[in-house]
Amino acid sequence: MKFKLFILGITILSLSASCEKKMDRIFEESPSDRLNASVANVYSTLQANKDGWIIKYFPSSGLEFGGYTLFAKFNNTTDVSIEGDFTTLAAQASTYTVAPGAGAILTFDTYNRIFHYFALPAVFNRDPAYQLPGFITPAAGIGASNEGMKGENDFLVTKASADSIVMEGRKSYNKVVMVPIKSSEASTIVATYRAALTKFHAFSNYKFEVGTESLAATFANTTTKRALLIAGNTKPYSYRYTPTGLEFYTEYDVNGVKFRELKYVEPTGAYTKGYFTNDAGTIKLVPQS
Amino acid sequence: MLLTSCGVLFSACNKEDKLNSNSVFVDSTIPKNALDNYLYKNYILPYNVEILYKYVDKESDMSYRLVPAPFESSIRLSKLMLYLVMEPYSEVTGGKEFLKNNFPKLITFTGSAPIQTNGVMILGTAESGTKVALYNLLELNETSGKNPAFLTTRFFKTVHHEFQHILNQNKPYPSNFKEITGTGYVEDDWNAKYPANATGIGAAIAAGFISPYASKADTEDFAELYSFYVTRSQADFDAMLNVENSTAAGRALILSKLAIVKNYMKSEWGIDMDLLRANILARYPNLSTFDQTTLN
Repeated sequence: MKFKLFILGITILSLSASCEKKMDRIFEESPSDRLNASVANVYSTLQANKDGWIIKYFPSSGLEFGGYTLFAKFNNTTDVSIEGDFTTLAAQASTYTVAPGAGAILTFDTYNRIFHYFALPAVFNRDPAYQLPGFITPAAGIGASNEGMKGENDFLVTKASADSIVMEGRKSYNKVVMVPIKSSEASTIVATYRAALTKFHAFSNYKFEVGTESLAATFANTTTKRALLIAGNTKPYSYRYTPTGLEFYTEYDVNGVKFRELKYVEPTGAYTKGYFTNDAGTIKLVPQS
Repeated sequence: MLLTSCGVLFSACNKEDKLNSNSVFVDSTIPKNALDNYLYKNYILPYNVEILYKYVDKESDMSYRLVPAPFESSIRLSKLMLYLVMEPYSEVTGGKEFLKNNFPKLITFTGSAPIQTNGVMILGTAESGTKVALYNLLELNETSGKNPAFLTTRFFKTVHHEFQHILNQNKPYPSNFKEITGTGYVEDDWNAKYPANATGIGAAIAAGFISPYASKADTEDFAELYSFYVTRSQADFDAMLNVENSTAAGRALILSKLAIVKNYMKSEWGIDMDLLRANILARYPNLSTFDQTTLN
């Protein structure tokens, strides 16, 4: 009896074992081919725009140091040169790689004095040898001694096309957007951004005006500025300087008014320093000094 | 019944397609530059040692903020390490086999250095005797590249130290080594017990340790004795032993341990540490004219 049961068992098992059908692929190419194609696409997109790219860079997941505009030219498959709106230092050359990982990963893989300034711990960024001309040079450095401004080296590319490249910092998960520089603006764009920075960075002591309300805003980091804390908030509203005014990291909301960009209006009447406002004019960001 | 079962078993299925001869993993090709070619010719071919001078996140320490090494500093360090580490071993052992068989297989270069939350900087690290991370290439330039003390403290002492760990894993050193200061090892308390100041360093010598770190464990003690000895002149080594607060009793303990290290290197690996040291030291005066940047 036992033996018969055994045989029966084996038979049933054999029948149900049967054969495993091959799984149909959802995509025609293998995952590795598709990943390599995506890497190749990032390489060619980066190099295709000969005049280079504007990088809208916000270091640190807390966004407390604000945003910076970098100008990058990917000259060939290995070399990149970078300038910044925040320093007068001439373009610095270094290397980059686009490697397959959890997607195409853009790595700035040899030291670039401008780009990697953000990733230097304060032990380094307080040392004059690493500081950048035109940028703030506090003796205590910027940020914590072991972390500095919390910038990074690697970015996961989530979109790469001729009109924009979107990436995500691999440590901060911050969104980094790159837009192509037009050939018509290529010769003046860096100077234009620097001039805007000189003009707007001098302002401080901000107040948001929405309707009849006035909300004071302080800097999340008084050394770097570029990120505002409204009284009672812990999350800074982080921005970059652009030739027209301020462009924020994401869409923010003050008393129900949503905005992403605030354009500068020259001094008028009681606004002796001028102000920044949205297109509808429903919110004003007013520097008091 | 039995036959049927067997039949079913053997019939099974047999419609496997031919395997595709192409791997599903397709490597992407990255163009080689002059330094890549130099490293291939001078490190990979003769020594089977790979130098990663470009930042690769998975080979880096993700818990710290690190920046990549400057390209030019990587050229300098590659050339200097060949001159001050690889060549001396090859000359003393009469060939490249010794390094090829035992040297750490992966060396990574990094621009900055890991800074701990208390602000203390880490100079170099090693993992299981196969990978050595060298930091602070930002500080390596034409001038510092001519300074033996800088090169030794920042880079090469670490390399010799980690290399010694690998040698010890392959051939253990005599157990009587750890008996000499057996009760003195304090594990992770080493920097609290012997802080990095004149008092702490003197106290370490008095307790029989060449450096505060040597008091961590006998394995570290062994590697510290070795790496300090081969990178320093006798005068400099004696100066270390005779710092303020040191004692003759402590020096005697250190010297008896050093004798075991020397004997181990000679008998197990055929290396006379005095010859190796002489070879390394003889190169220091040439650093002032050493070409740090031409790749050939």
